[in-house]
Amino acid sequence: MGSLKKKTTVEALSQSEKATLYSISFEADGTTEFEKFVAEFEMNASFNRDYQRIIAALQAILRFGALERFFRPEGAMNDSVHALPIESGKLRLYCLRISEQIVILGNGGAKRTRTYEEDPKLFGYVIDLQRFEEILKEKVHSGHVSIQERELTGIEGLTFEI
Amino acid sequence: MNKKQEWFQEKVSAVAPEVISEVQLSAAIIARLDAILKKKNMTQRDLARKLNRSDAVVSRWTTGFPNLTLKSIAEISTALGEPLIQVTE
Repeated sequence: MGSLKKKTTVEALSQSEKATLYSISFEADGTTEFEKFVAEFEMNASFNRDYQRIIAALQAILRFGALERFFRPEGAMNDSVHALPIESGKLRLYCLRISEQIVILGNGGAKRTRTYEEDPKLFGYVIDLQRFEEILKEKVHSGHVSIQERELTGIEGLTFEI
Repeated sequence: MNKKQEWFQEKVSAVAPEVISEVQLSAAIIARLDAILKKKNMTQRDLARKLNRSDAVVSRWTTGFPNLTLKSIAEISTALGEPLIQVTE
């Protein structure tokens, strides 16, 4: 992790009447963390069922909203880090559930340890989301970004340093 | 729709329709259950007590995208006093 700052941008991936799904990017070419997750697991036969259920869960969130019940709370008590899915399965996708209408997708991976903290890769994904949320809160507080129902207004085109 | 949104839609379209259908059905049941609990001002623990089931079992039945049996749907519907699902003729 260290003190290296990551330049971060946010992109909307899908929007419905009930919710908007965003993802964060640390890459100069704009590749999002969720795209990396998909690239790693969509063709991986060992995780095919889990991967398909996670994508289907995102589609269900677009249809019904990001109900708290759909997610597994992860991270700390005072953050919005959650994981999909709750059910048994080895694959986890980490995200920030900002509200019942807004979800920011991060990266994820195979759960091989009892807790995510024991896996440096998964722990890193959660830390990235926690750091991003702190900066997002500052931007909301300063008025650069506002949370309006299904949208984070002013977020696209902004670069954050986390 | 921009390129990222088109890409996302492609990934959804690539998922097996029966998986989408199963998860959507489960989500619809959980969303209905959530709405009934909120309407009746009931917690998950209240529901567990009514069902005479442990909190852990009720948590498994009422969070995520569970594959509920007809028996558990019937139990929950009875405890809530409202149907969770309706089959059209």
